[in-house]
Amino acid sequence: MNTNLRKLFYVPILHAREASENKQGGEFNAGQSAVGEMWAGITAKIEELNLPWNKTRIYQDGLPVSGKEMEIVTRLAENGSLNHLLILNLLMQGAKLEGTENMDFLMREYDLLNILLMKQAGADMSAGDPGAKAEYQAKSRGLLAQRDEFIANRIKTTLQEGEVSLVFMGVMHRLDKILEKDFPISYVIYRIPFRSVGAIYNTALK
Amino acid sequence: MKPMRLKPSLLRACQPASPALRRACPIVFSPIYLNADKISTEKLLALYHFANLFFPQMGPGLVQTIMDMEKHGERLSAGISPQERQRLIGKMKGLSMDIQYALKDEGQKMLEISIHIVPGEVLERAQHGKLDLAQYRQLRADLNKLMVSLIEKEIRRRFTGKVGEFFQTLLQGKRVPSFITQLLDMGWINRKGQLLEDASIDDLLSGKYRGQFARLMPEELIQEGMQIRETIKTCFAVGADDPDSLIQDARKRHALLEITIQETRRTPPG
Repeated sequence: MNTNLRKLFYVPILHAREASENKQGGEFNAGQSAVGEMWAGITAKIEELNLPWNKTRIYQDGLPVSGKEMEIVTRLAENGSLNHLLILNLLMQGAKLEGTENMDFLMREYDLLNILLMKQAGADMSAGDPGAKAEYQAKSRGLLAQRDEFIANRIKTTLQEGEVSLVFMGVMHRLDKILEKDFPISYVIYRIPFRSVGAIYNTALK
Repeated sequence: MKPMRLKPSLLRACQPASPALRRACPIVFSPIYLNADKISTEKLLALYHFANLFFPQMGPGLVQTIMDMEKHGERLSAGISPQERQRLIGKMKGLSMDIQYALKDEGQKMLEISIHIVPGEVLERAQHGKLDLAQYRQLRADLNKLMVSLIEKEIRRRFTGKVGEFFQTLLQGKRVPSFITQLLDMGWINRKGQLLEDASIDDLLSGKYRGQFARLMPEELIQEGMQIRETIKTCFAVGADDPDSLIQDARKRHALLEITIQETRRTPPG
């Protein structure tokens, strides 16, 4: 298959550190957090790309191939994830959503996180559990490589000629390295957010 | 690259994309853009040094300037009646000051910080007597961590690309050096000379293959690799000072995955 005609826009994202806490009835409230501020920047940059939305497929970090992709994105958006809210907006403009990750791998990641957080909760609060962190890092590194491989294959097999992909991937992933030999990759300009001073002040005022 | 307007305390952002965002109009400190497409390895090193110089010195300097403004404002507002103070703030309405810092490579912006200060808001904040140094330190630490992860990723990508190109030329020669054959056998590189996941810069520069790598590779590439390694080391040192970040990140990802898993198991109504 000639992949030259398929383009890939790669959006390195920070995991939604505050997104799940940013419950504002589904509306962006960028003043709430640096996460909101970051997503405002990413939204603006994506709009500047003027992508042909009816020929654009969206791939998302953590979204399993499950037949329930739309429900998952909607639920996460309802829970305040600005990342998923942006995706919903792009879908309304005509973009297509693709299941991206292997569910089994995500379950393994979830289990690893469970173990890490349980050990952490049981450890001395000040020191944490360095052993648990190291164990998690070692195991999750290998799993991340497997996830990246799966995602790369998923993109290669679902993206059609003449189509554009918009890939939202956490900065720890190395997916772009795998895909760069198959696709011309354009990076949506990074935007490094500072924490919103507004959010800090609002907290201070409470 | 579109400049971003911002205003610490005093500062309000931005050119939000949607009406909802425009309404939200967040107060933000310092949006920074990195134009990754314009950044080469050499430029990244420059950028890293630049960031080290720029933020520890300019950043607090700027915050100090703003805090000085607030302190002066405080003094000023303490010496006058509330009515006069409000009148003064009113008079300043519409006044603003723009400062723009940009790092350019041949005219193309690599990094940009634009700051928009509104003196009237400075005075208003001074009225409330808020000082921001502790928060600023936190902001700077956040920025460092983010910067480090992006720079580290990009550096590795560029370097492995360059090394891969050189391996490829060696693989195409009539006689493939045994060092390359070993790397192939170990699965560190593929037949195209591309470094695979298990291979690291450290392994090549200072590990078991150091001698052969140094002998076969051009001097500039070795030098570049050493510089990169040093930079990454420094980056890790910077990034390692927050032991909680992994746990915080883990909690957030755990929460997102939990919702995802619940949703995949949910039975449709009816």
